Amino acid sequence: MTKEKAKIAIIQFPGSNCEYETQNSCIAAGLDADIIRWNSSKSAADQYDGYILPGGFSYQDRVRAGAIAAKLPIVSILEKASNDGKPILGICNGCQILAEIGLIPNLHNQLKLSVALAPNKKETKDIGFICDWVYVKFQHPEKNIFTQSFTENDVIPIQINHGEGRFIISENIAEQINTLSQINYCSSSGNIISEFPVNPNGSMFNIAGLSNAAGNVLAMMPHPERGTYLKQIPSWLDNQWSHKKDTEFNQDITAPGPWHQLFVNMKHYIQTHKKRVVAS
Amino acid sequence: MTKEKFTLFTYLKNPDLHAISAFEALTTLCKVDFLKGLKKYTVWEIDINASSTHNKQQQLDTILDTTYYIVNPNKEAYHFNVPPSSQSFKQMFLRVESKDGFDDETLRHQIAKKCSVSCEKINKYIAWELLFDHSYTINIEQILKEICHTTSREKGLLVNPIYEKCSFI
Repeated sequence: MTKEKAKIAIIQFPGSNCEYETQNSCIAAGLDADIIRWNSSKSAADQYDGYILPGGFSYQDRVRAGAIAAKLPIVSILEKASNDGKPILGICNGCQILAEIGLIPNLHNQLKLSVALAPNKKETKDIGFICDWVYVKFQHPEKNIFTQSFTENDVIPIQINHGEGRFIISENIAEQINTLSQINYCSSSGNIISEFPVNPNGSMFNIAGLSNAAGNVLAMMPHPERGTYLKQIPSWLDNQWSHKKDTEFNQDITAPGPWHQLFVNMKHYIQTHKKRVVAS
Repeated sequence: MTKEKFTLFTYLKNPDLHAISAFEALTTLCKVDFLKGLKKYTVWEIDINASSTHNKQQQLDTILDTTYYIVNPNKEAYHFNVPPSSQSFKQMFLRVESKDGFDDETLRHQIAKKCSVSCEKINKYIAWELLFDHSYTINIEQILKEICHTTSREKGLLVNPIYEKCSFI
């Protein structure tokens, strides 16, 4: 008997520009991934096992990044999917949209805005758009389905590419955030240092990605789809993945990179979840 | 030497896509039916060090004529010191700015270097011109809740209260 493929939707907004690389990463992980439009009918958009909001500049970042997309009717599908326990991943602009909707951290399931992605800062200065490779590590990775196979000791390189990526947490929930699964900016040796350039945009608590309380939604500013293959990792980084590339790349150009596992985790969760639904 | 603050309400000569999208999102997606129009201005408040009002005005003209830092005349125009008035609608101006304030240091240095004008302080913020029918009775609480403060998918758009603050001009 063959396993039914997990079927996910990558939502393409006007201005998205990372949907095809994201689809490629999903396919490499064994997911069946469709790119659907922001104005798809509810019945068409509702049929998927999970959703990814890709990077880009939805609606040209008008008003502020993610603000207009967060008002669209398709968002009600995401709210329902989140309630149903389906996995939802927001990457970069997708992260900004999830924050505007209130799907992260969604501590009390009220979908209220409590996290913002503000313009980047270096200490107190505006630094505008940044595009660079940084390092991240995980806090409570076991509490989110996308990060569950990673450990707190992992230090992984990843690309960032944004102008509004500074995580700001509402004062009233700042303490509770630390109990959630997080991805945090760190140095190449894994130290969480709050100053630039380790913290490239001034994010509170060095947050690069944040889970919802239920653990099925992850919003992250860095781009995992740009680290799915070993070939995407630059050789000049001071990290085991760069060293691995130097030794293994010539043997297999499709060798998986550090972030391949994030998409595999999504697949595993969907397959397990589906099995559980069928059994019940 | 005295200081004098000039205020410029700059706007795009072409249709402003930020304002169009914001208006569409508010009226079509958030169902705010009492809002009849929306325009966006980038407001600059400039304090210039100069010996007389005449000199201050001259120095402001120098900034505007020789740099694009404040206004790019190819695509922008401005109202001087007072916002535009409307006969057709009841209007309100919503001032939106970062809670951290505007960091003017780099800009002041650039202006000093490029055109030798000494600015004491420069501030920048967004002003949204909200237009209502004359029959609409202004309800500040309703405007703040439904148009301004973003709290959820259905409510508010123009201000992210986590890192921005707003006030009415």
